[in-house]
This record gives sequence, structure tokens and C-alpha cells, in this order.
Amino acid sequence: MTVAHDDPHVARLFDRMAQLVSEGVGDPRDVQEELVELAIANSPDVARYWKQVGVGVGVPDTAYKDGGPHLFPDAPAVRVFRTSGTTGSGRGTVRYSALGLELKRLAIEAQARRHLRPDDGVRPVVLPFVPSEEAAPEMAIAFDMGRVARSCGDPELSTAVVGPNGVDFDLLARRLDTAVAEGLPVVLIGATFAFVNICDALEAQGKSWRLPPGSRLFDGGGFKGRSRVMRVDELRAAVRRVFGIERHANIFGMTELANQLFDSADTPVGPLGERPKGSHPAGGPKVRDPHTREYLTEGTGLLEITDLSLLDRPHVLLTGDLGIAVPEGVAIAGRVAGGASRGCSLTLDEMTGGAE
Amino acid sequence: MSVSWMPEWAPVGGVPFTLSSGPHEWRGVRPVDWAVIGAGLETAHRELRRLPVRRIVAAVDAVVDLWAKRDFAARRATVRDAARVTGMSEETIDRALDAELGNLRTEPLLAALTRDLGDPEVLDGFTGGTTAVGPRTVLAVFSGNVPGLPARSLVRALLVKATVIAKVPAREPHFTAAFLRTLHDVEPVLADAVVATYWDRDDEETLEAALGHADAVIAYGGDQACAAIRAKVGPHHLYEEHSHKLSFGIVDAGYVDRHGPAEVARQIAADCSDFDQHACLSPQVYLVHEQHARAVARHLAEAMRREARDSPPGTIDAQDAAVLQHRRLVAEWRAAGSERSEVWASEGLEWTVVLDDALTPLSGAGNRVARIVSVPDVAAAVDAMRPYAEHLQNVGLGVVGEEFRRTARELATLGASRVCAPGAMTKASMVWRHDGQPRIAGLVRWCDIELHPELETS
Repeated sequence: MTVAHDDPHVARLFDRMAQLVSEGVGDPRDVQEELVELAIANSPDVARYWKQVGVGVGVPDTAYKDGGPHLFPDAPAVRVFRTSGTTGSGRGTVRYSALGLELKRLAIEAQARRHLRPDDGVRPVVLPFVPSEEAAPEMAIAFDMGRVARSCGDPELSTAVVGPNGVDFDLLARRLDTAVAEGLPVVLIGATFAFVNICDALEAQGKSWRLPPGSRLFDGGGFKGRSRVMRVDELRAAVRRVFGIERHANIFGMTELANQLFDSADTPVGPLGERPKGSHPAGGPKVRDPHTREYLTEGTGLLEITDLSLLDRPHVLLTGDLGIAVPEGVAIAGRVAGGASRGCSLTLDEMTGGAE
Repeated sequence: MSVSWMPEWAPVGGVPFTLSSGPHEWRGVRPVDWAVIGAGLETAHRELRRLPVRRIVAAVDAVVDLWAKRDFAARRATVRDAARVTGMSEETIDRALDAELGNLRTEPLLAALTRDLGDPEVLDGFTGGTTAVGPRTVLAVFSGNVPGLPARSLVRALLVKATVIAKVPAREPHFTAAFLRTLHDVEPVLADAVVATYWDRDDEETLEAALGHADAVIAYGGDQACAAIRAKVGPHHLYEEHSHKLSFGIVDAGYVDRHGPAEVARQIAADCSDFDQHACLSPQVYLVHEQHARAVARHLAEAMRREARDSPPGTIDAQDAAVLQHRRLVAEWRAAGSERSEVWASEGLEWTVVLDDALTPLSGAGNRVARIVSVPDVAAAVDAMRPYAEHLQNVGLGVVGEEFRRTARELATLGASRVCAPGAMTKASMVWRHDGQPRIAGLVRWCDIELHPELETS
């Protein structure tokens, strides 16, 4: 029987999720169990899928290319985000109900507090290399970064530094100069590949800063679909040269998910030196054994992310990435893609840009 | 045993190389001085040219006679090593070798020579006022997706009396040298006309040195690998390329009515299981008439299970396994939301059958993923293949009567170079014009005598 969005059960579930997400209070297993029941009740597709492959196996990200499972079709969508479409056949959409979007906000802010706030409580200057939420209302990362800046950042100086014509280098330079003058730590957040270009551009202009202690850089997205790849430590070296930042970490987020994952250790694990991502009270990454679909404690397989701040969609997602499980967490090691071709044999995956 | 082959005349020693797969390592040597190799091949070529073509055919046949026995020691060792490096089961490799070696018996070789040249004896001298002359040295760069595949081009080159520099594939380096060792026992002139070695893909110096002593080049491999070789080929080189290819199957209602869904499924299962579906000849998808698609798919699950029992699939590494499991889960998700889609699969990753009504977004094959896509008619099947025309190679065409002839012609126009019955997709004969060109005729230059009083006796 379908559970309506305005059902008191959903309101109670929301409260418990909010507590878990924000404060780490509650038993994630209970929430997970309820989310499984909700998904089975509200999405016949998910119910059939789990009947075939096992309850709780992540829904493939490709599902969202066709709209994907939405657990509350009765609830008006207060926000619609579009997936990037960089990984295959066109862009998908994900819809958020009011309660779902509120949970996303709580989740993003809680993770930001855990990872972005310097230990001394000073609010850093948060400079996301993404458009502002107003400029890009359909971009989930713009929403997320807006929340991060608002919840953790210096209210006066924090700002998105990407405008309609790309990175606003003048604005960036002004904010960095001010931060240096006032001794405020800076948090730079943006796409991995953007930092490659930004460092190239600033080095070419001969510009560099020594940002105050406590400054950090968070990159996300990696190099999927890019012709040029760079090892994690190479990128860090460039960032060190240009911004004088010593503390780096990588963030993993997807439009299909509500929350984000952060590096849990500074140990190179993936082929490009990718660090492992850790879990948080309301979920985290796991790796499915590609042979048995069981969870692996160590080794390579399919990355599956549990996100107990997701109310509008199933809380488990197969991202289409390879994951490498290690004791500290899971390193995300590129797209599963179509596999290496052998000799003259070609697969349709390669012809169509991956099984997306 | 070494994975390289150096003729008796070649200097002892060389640059050692090692190829490995997991804990296993295989060694070989690469020539130090390519000028010496070039001079040696020139001498070997003179010897080779003296051999009548029928003697070459007989020698190859004699080698194959030994290799045809599965318990032949050299074959067993080769199959064991190939299993270690390719991950394929020994039975799958044995079947691949049976198919490849069967092409190299006297009858198919003479048939191929006759089809390409009219009269094989034109290779020995003037016959009917014409003669065919092969290159002096063929440089053959092989790929390793199909065990035994190098035999085809190696033998074609020897038939036209060309010496050969062979680059063995890293993914299946054993067959070529082992085959040449047996050939040396049977007819040393032939084996001593071949140098088989290995160099890395980015070792341009060795590639250029080898190219410098060749007047013909045969390249197998991906589009990128072939392009890298093609860029170095000169105008004086004769060039043959076997780059990326895609193959499909089509089955219409009349064909299922005639053979029954179980038999059609058996044929499709063979096509999708041979070589673990890694050959370019292997079908990516079978486009089946919607009236029978589900019935064929259901039977196919059982047929794939039987194939896996009789010829076990190979082991696959974590990366390939992830690709396969991901494909399955994507297919399962699609099936959960569509009555026209369904998935049947083994407990492990041995085989997968996917029924769908769209070619995309579900994509990919390899490692025994049999995909049935239902189509309203044969025209729709051909249309579905149209976007891939550039890479189209082989079509298993389960169509009968006039429609068969019409469709075969349409596929030929589209770009296919081979049309065969379902179940025979991976069993390309030696007579097939490999990737659309006569590959023996393609290696020779002709000389005709005309307007000469001596013509009658030539």
C-alpha cells in the first residue's frame, strides 16, 4: 500500500532521519529498514528490482536518466535538479519534495560542519567554484555549496566565484587578498578539473597567494570524461604552489544523492592516488563484490552509496563507479564504463559512450 | 618455452623480454641487430620462393595434423599457458583452436588460394600467361582476443612466399612460437622464414626497425593501435588492417517457425559463448522478431547454461566482473520497469541473457552476455544496426527465402563483410574475404605476359 507524503508516518520518519542526519542520534539500521519498506510500498519498480537482485541493492544511476523512481509522486516537487549528463545518453532529473529538500539541506550542512569548520571555530571565507544557486537553480552542487557557505562561511566574504562567463578571477583575487590581509582561513571548493584549469591560468598570470593557516581545498568530480588526467598529488602540488594551501580533501557528490562524502584518510588507494571516503552517521560508501553482489570489506567492485538523508528516492544508489574497499573506507576509482576492448573486438559500450 | 621464435640462422641471444599474467611469467628475445635480421630474411626468402605452393600447403597441413590432436604436447602446453593469460577455460581455447586449425587443412587452403588467385600454381611461376608474386617480408602485428588467430595471417603470408616478422600479442603470446616450432620440424625452410617476437606498444624504435625490413604490413587491434601503425606505414608498404569491428545477429519469424525456438536458441548460445564472446565475430546483440523474442530468450537461458557446462567460461578479473555485474543490474532495473524486458542469469557471472525492446541504453557484450532485442520486422533490425555501419563486420542472419537474399544484400551494402547462419558466427572459413577483402590476392602483385609469341608456352 502506497504511503502518501502527508502521511503522519512520513512525518515521523522525517523527524528520525533529521535527527540522525544532523546530530547522529538514532539507529541507522532502523531508519534504513523503514526506508526499504517505504521504497517497496511506493515504487513497484523498486519492489520488482529488489525481488530479482536482493533487497537493498543500489538502484543504478542510469535509472535517473529516464526520470527514475520517485517515492512521492503525489507530493509537489519544490525543486528539480538535473544530472550533469556528462557520462552518457542525455541528462536526467531528480525531484525533491519539501521534506526531502529540507533533509538534503540538513545533511549537507551537517557534513560541512564536520569537515569544513576549522578547529578554532573561526568562520572561513568559503569560495565555491560553482555558479550561485540563483544563477543555476537546477544545479544540485550550486544548492549544496550555497548551504555550505551559509552554514560554515564568513557571511560577508563567502561567495560563489563562477559567473556567467566562467571563473571571475578579479572577484577571486579580491577575496583572497582580503582573507590574507585579515588572516582569515579560506575554503576553496570546486570541480577537480576546474582547479587544474584555474591553477594553470593563475600560474600563467604569475599570481599566487599564501593563504592563512587553516585554509583548505576541497575538489570533487575527478576526471571522468576528461582527456587529461592528473594524479591527486600532482593537483595538490599545483594548488600548494598557487594558493599556499596545505590541507586538501576530495568530496564525492552526485545529483542523485542528497548528501556528500568526504575523504576519511590521507592514504593513496585508487589508481590516481584517490583517497578513501568515509561513512557518516547517516550512510556512506560500500563496495559490492562484482561476482556475488555481497559487500566487500577489501577489494574492488561496484560502488554503492547509502544515503539516509534521501526521502524522495531509494536510499541506496549504484553510482556506476568502481570502488576499492580498504579499512579506512572506500576509494572511488573511476567509472565502471564498458570494459577494455580486446584486439579488434569492440563492444557497444564503447560505441555509445558507456552503459549509461 | 620461449614465446619468441628465432630462425636457425639468427644470431644466438638477443634482447630478453618478459610477459606476465598474475604469478606467471613467459620469456622471449627480441633481435639486437635488425640489419642482420633483414639480411637473414632476404636469404630465407630466396629459399622460400623455391618451395612450390602445394609443398607449403602440405607442410601446413602436416603441422595442423599434429596440432589437431588435443593431446599433442605442444598444443596442451600452449592451451594451458593461454588459459593462464587470457583467463579463458582450456575447453574454450581448445574449441577456438579446433576452429582456427580446421581452416588450415589442405582442402580449405587450396579453396582459399583458388578463390583468390584462380590457380594456386600462379605463385610458382607463369601459368596461363600470368604469375603472382608475394611481398618479400610481411610485418604482422597481432592482437590476442582470439587464441590461434595469428595462424590465419601467418599462413596466408607463407602461402604467397613472404617471410614474416610477427609481433606476438601480449594477451596470447604462446601460440605463434609453438606453432612455428612444429613447423620447423616439418619444413624448416618455412619456419626459418619467420621471426616472431614482442615489443611494447610505445617502443617505436623497434616498430620502425621492423618496418624498415618489410614491404607489407598486417595490423590487428583496436582503432588507436592500428592508427599508430598506419601512421608509420610508407607509400611503398602494402597495408592490411583489421581494426575494431562489431557483429550482430538477426532472426525473423519464418526462421524460428522453420527451426523452432529451442534450436534457434542453441545456435545463438553457441555464437555468444565461443571465445567467451571476445571475438570481433561474436554477436553484440541478436535482433529477433517480436513474435518469438521472448520464447527464444527463455530457451536461450537454458542453452547458455548448457554451453557453460560443456565449455566453461573463463575467469574474469575484478574490473571486467564489475562491468558485467553493472550491466546485469542496469538490465535488471530496466526489466523491473518494463514488461517487455527480462533478465535470466546464472548464480555467478557465467552467463547472462537479456531481453529488451531497445538496443540502447542497454549496451555491451563480452563474457557471455546474450542480448535479445525484439524488433517488429527485419527492416527494423537492419535499421537498428545502421548507426554502427562503419564498424559492421559479421551478421548471423536467421532469415529464409527471398527475404534472406534481399536482407543479405542490404547488409552487404550497409558494410557487413560476412553473412552466415546463426550458430556459425565465430566459425569464419579461410575462404571468407576477411573484413571484406581477398587477403591472399591482396598480398600479391601480378605479372601478365601479353602480346608475346612465347605466351602459348608460358
